[in-house]
Amino acid sequence: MKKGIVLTIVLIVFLAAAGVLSVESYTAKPQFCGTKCHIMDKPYKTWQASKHGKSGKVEVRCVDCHYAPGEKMTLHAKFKGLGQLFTYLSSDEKEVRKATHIADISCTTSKCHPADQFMDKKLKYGEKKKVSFTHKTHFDKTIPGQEMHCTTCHIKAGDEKHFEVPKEQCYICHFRKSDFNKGRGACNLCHEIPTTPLQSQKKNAQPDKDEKIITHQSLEKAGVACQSCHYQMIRGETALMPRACKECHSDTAVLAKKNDMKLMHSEHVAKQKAQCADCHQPIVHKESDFIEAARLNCASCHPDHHSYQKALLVGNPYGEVPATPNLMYNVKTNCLGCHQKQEVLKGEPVLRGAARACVDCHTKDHEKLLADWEKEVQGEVAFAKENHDRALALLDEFKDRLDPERVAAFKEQIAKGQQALDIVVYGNGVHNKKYAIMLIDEAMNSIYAVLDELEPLAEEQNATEENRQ
Amino acid sequence: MSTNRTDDRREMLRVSGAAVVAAGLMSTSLLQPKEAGAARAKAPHWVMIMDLRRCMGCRACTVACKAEYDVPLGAFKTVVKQVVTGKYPDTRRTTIPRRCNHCEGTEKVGKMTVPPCVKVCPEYPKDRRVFITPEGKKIRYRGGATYKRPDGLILLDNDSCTGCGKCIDACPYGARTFNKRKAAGKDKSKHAIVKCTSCVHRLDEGVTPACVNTCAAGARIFGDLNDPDSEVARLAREFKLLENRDKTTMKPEAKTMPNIFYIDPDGVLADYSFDEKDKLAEYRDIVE
Repeated sequence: MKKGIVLTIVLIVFLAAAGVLSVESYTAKPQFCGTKCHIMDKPYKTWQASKHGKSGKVEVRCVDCHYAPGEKMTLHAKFKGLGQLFTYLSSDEKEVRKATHIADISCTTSKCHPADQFMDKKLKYGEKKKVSFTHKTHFDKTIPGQEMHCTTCHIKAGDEKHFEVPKEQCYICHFRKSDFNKGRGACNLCHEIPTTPLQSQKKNAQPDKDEKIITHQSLEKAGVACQSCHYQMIRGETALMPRACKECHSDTAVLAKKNDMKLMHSEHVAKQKAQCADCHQPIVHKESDFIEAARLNCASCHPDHHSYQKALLVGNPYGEVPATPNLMYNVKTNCLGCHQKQEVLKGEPVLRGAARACVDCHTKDHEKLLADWEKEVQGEVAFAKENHDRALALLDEFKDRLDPERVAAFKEQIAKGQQALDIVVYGNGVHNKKYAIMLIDEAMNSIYAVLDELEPLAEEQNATEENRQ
Repeated sequence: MSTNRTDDRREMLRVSGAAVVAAGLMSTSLLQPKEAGAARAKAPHWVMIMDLRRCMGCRACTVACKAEYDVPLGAFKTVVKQVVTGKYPDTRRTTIPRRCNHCEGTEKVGKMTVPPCVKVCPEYPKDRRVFITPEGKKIRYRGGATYKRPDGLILLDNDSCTGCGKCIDACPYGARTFNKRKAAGKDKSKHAIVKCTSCVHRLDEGVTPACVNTCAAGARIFGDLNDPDSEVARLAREFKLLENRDKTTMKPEAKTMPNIFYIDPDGVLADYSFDEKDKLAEYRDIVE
């Protein structure tokens, strides 16, 4: 009898242990987190796409990171999980937790990314792998009240790849309240400043001792500001977003503390709850349109000033016309490159484009180019205008003999042609002669479509009149 | 035969006006605007077929071309190259006549596709021109220092040429070179460009090009591909020249869609290659 009781107890203990272990190992599977728990759908998919997931060498389970080492297989962890389930069931919110907590130790365990191996390792970051980077410098330098954790930068969870570093995350620290190319915004912190000649024709040529070669360094020596070529590299204020605090908090006592930078950072960043972009406006670090720099002077009074001229110079595809940028645009010559001649127009000083500017960079023969271009474009515009007017006049003459639908269609065609023609007329075709002529052809195609239908009518009318005489 | 005149819209209308009215284009086009476009007659599509089975390398074409034009000494518009295939003692020499391919081109300028030489020309598009098809229909196009006529010919207009040489660089076949005896029209300090024009002056009068006329073996066959009864159309169907452009045209990897086809049953064309750097040397006819 006694034997039987002992056996039953052993069996029960064994079964209970087996049950706990199987439940334990089942709930530690990523598939349990990702597919059984439907609010984890997005993070699960991004995990699958990342190096930690199925596309990586080793599949790292959710619990490996989301629980600290030693904690992940314990009953404590499971009770935490049950706690989360309870919060979810008792709440109406679609999303229960905004941010997760991942301890640095989870990442830096000896079998994953041991600190002694990766801290000093020189890495390349970015799409083109051109930005040099080390982890150590980032762990050493921090803003007051802020600690850097792995997840401060490796924040991607709900989109793209799990743990990926978005470049906007770098910009907020590097460019917020810093001058261009100064301090932590210095270009050479991330980019290698090239020493090769800036003149394209000298890039592959044999070096000549007597010849002065222009490089980034020689420009720096001459005191040329970086901004004169790399125009407006940083855009955005990174100010606090007006409604950011209220997204999470409603207590006025809490909201009143929002200007305490040290407290805010230690609460949100050091404790790894919020991401920079949750509170700060995003910043853009990208080469901006260099033509804008020259147009800026006029823009305060004429917001859309010189837009046609710019459209011509840039030469974007228009209708059937393929992309045809001006050759000057390709070598980054902005408006001021040609518009150098000071003149006073209606009492206002203006800068006129002059053929003299061509000679400065090219040869003496280039002086006559501008006049040639002007003459050619003017002739083309005159021809197009004449035909445009003729099309309108003919339409007016024969509109009674055509049905109203066709008249409307013709009018639309003519208006379409006029649009293309306007760019050349208002933008002055010399800004891109080739593109201007192609635009006029585009306009003429619309006008000819109308003329081809109406001119035979006019011819016929002329013939009958002649017969009558 | 087609005529090619620089545009004056009124003048052109005066010439073709009567024919247009007679054709009743007016009444039909007003009634059926959409079908009128479809009825527009096509321009000819000039192609030349080089029958490599027949060419025996006599160079009569080279000489005829030299005689027809003022081709400068040392420059050629058409040459005959040769390829040796096989291994000793079983070798064979094939002669390959070459000239400007008058490529169809894949790069767009407006509604037209043009080859790279036309695309790069800084003086294209230039003056307005009108092409009149054999049926009397008009097709509008643009001239330039180098330009494409609607019948597919790539032509030169020295008057507007600045002699910049961009087209020489752009041509993947080396078919263009400077005419050292002639100055460019717009910049007299530079040389004019010389290349095959498919004997456009003869063609417009209804005469075949000089090289075709003189080819004793009948290795050069010239004609209009749009005409289904023509010799070229028949050969194109028989040898599937259009379908197998990869094997029947020179340097298909340049993707310029040449209009010079080769009947090449032994696949010799694939063995013929030249270095991009020395492409201009390929247009020197040196008898080995």
